[in-house]
Amino acid sequence: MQREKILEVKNLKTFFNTKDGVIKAVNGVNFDLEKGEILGIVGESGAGKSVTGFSLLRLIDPPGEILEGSIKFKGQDLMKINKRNMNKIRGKKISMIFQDPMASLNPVLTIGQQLIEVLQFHLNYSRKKARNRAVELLNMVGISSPEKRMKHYPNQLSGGMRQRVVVAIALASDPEVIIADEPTTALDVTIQAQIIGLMKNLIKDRQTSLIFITHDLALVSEIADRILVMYAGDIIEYGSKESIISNPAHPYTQGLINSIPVLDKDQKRLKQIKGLMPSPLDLPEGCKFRSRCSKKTDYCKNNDNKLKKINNNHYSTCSEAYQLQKELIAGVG
Amino acid sequence: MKLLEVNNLKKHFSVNDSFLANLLNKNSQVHAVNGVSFSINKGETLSLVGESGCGKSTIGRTILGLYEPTEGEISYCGKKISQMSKKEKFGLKEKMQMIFQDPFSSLNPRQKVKDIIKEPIRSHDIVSREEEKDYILNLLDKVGVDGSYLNRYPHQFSGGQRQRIGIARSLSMEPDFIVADEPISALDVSIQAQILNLLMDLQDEFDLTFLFIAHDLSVVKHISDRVAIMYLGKIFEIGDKKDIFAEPIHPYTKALFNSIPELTTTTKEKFSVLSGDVPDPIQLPQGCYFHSRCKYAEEICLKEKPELKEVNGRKVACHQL
Repeated sequence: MQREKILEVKNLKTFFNTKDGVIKAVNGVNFDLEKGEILGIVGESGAGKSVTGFSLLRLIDPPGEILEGSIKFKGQDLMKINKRNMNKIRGKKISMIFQDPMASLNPVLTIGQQLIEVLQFHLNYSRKKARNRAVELLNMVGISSPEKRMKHYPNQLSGGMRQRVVVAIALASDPEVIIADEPTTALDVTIQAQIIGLMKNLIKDRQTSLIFITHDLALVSEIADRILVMYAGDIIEYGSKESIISNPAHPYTQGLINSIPVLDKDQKRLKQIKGLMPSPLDLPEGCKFRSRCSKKTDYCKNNDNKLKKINNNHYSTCSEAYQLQKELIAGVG
Repeated sequence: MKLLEVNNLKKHFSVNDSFLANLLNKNSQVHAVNGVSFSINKGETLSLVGESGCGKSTIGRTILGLYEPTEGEISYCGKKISQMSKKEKFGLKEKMQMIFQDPFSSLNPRQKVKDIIKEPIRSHDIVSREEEKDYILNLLDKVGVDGSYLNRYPHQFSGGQRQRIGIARSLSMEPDFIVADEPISALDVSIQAQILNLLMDLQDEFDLTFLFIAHDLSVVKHISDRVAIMYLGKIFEIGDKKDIFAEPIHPYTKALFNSIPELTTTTKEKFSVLSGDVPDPIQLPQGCYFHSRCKYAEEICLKEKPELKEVNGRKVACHQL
């Protein structure tokens, strides 16, 4: 079933100009997001996943700059509209949940004030209507005695409750897309499970699309429909969750999956990926993973880093994987 | 052989320790550790697992003497630490070392790698000045850091390499016992596997005993021999790794295990197993600390604290058994 594409990103490039040189944080990525879908963006620190998320909302400050690309939200290119119109979309149609709830809430305003502000600004609610809606929202995200909590400051709440408030603020304007940047990384596992369950239920009810940015492949595999793996500013693998987890094509994705200890399996030593991600100031030509790759061939240094089709729901930049798949099809044919 | 024994350890911190607060008797206490007993055999890895605020790091630090225990005894090789002389305690520092969580804040940014490792070697007279350089190079080689980096500063290294330097520093004292306080949780997944493998190799080579503090259960399963599950400063379940991971018994252990994300191709429908938050450690609840979040809680759980009881080859603190 072909669903409506709500977000289409083409050739997005975000660079940072530093005194040491140009950091190519996001280096020409292409992807789309369907209505009601959960898309997971996975990668290690420095892979460019958060910068991708921030770029979608044009939240890049100097020395950073979005150099090229188009971000089409329901057909409208967000790169071409003015600041005023962007402010109407940001937070209303597309909202964001950040990693650290203490840093994303204002410490000198009560959580009630912060919720009411959003409702008044984006939906032009009257004060009274906004107040009632705010209580409803707190109730919806599972905060007990919401009337009382409205008067509390963020420091009076636990980490899990704060993140619930952030989720409530993100949902307040009934957005069509939510970008969640490591929303549970600062939380304990039992609280993480609560927040993920909550987000998933709320989104399913409203057919909201979610971009879930995380370093935790296991967590993404539990909720996402499709997964996008990033490495050194590129998307190196992209496709349906089932295909990527059971049949990873790129050696980096394979390495990531293998380096996670599995609870119900006994292993003496973990398989590790050698070495480190290359410095973003000095990216090599061709495949950027090749210095760490155990399967590299002569072709790798000429790799164009374009996504190649493995099957209908699965793309990867790895030429080796692509070759293998072609041979497989030829063999069958 | 029991290398370390902890007996009914308690550690409370004063929140408001001013003269006036003391006078008015308003000095409230954070009950970080509330009566914990366990022992570690030589060459073994015991993991303390629990969510933030359960007191696991406090136990590690109290064992190393970084905190003075409020109550209880810690014995090393059968001898009570509180009864040791100053000289014996100084010697003990060589035998017990620590690996810290954050490789960014645990290395002095103004010292070169060689000085970071040299400082403990000199203050404890481990080797003579002539052998010093070779000794340091050998240590760096063991942890997989290139010897040519001796004159570099910590900021010139990646997180994984910095953690390796921290490990080299604790190995420089030729310890028997190491407290590893979340040594990999600040690192990326592919680097975590490298450091875990390194720790296990070093354990084999130097016959080390580990107290491993972590919240990540899949990592704990990988590295431990025995596991202790903690909640609000109490041990809820302690026993052999194989038993506990095969069949968790305590309701909290079960909930914790069910909350861990697992690599899967099917989308999970039900997520949270526990409602609510951990109670405030300043005002501890009556009875079992877990009763407010436990779906099996009965009247006795509200009144009496459960003691650790032997069940299926391990110890569990729960009234429902």
